[in-house]
Amino acid sequence: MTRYFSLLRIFLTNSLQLEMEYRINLVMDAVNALLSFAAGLLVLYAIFDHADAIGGWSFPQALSLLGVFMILEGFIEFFLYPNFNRLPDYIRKGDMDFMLLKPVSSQFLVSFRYIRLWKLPELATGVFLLGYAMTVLDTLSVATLALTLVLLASAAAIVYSIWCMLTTTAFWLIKVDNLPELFYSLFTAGRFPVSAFPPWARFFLTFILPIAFATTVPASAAAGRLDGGMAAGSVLVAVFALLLSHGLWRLAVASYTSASS
Amino acid sequence: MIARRLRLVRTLLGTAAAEMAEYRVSVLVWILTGTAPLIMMMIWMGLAEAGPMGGYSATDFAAYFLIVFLVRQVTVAWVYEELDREIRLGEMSPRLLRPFDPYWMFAAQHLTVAGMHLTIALPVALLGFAVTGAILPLRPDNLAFFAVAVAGAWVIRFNMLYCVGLLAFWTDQAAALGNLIFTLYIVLGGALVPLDLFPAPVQQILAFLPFAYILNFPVQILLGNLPGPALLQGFVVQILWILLFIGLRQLLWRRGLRQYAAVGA
Repeated sequence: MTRYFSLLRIFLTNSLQLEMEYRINLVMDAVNALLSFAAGLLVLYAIFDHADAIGGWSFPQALSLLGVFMILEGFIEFFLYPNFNRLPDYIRKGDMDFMLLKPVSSQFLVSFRYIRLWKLPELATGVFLLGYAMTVLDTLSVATLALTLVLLASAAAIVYSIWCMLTTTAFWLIKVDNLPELFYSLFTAGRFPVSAFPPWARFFLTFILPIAFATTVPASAAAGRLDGGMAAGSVLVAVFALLLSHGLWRLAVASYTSASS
Repeated sequence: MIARRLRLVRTLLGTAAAEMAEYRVSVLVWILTGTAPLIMMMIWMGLAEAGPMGGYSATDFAAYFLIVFLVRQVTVAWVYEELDREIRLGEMSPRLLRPFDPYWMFAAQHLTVAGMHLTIALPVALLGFAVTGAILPLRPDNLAFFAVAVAGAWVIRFNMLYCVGLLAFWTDQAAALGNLIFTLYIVLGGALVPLDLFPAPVQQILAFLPFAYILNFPVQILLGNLPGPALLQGFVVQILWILLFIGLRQLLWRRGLRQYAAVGA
């Protein structure tokens, strides 16, 4: 275990050094974060210009949801994308061989190698927005904050697992390297409370592709409208998804035959 | 001369089609990533269940977003990513040895993919109309104008993103800029909210940006929402953007090549 922690520290230092080489990216990514914040806000304004609620959520509640959405999107850009984006190339070019030779879990090596520091503005914007919405809603207390954090962690675990599983398919489908992009585009649905969708889509977003647990559930906690069943379900789904992603990873690695070189 | 040109076009299109057939599953997944308009369709239809919103009934929203979905699929453009990569990594060099501007090769690639997208997206959109019960007031003249406007939209979007990609001659932020423009296009083109539901000041700004003419304009034509003068005005603005971006494209290409040669590959 200590080995994993010291490795994490080395990866982090190395990623930071790498990012310092590209400081100009910070400007571009900050602009991008502001823009996507403005875009999200504009869409909400357009909706609430003509309606009082969306799926039973008021404007400040919808703001908290936008905050959670931006946090998760930031998490994807900051952490998931830079790591898993490289996996298809590792497989195609045979670099995966070296991962497997090292005396630590290959899933760990692939998952935690890089971070994109300059994607922090988006994450930070999401945190501020969530904090602002909770102040307006007057739900800021130690208990809700703790519950929101737990549910955000389990949301992150769920999104990580889905992303990991979709990328793992690259072991079999060399030519299909864009399945995560497909998930990313469906993740847009997480901007809205799951109750705003028709019943069949609600079912899909809860049980098949559990985006509801990624955004609606943590935001419900923050907005003070959580039901206990969904909270417990979120943690259960997170544990199950993590186990599933690890199982699929081991299956994939077992069938890996390396690139001929 | 003309025969040679035609042969070039046929060869380019054939090569592009062969390349894309190799990655057909990948192309299918890309089509599915364009589902944001369908997600928005469900949201707006749900909101309009109690009664029309800003003049749109639930089925109006369905028709609007299904057409948006279709137009987005046909005007797909990712050329800035390719240009950015090829210029930064020097992969552009061998292309320069060929006796024609790589512009035509990229155009052929994009048109082929647009065709592939159409064959999938059209049945999906028709199915959408059947499921939602949305009605399209189809008129032959609107259909013809729609086709012209979509072609115009394609030319604007392709050349705009080509210009962005050519910026890679001077900066390594070209791809980031392209992604930024994509966000603007999605929001300000009308893929998330029908533009006439935006507050009036926003709508006034939109008239001076190209995005509405790439997406909202053709969609509104097919929905039969544009009276004669608005139609004419829309086409005039489209032509202005086309001239601007084609001119800018040629300028950037000539200047950039000088820059590229100076760096040496």
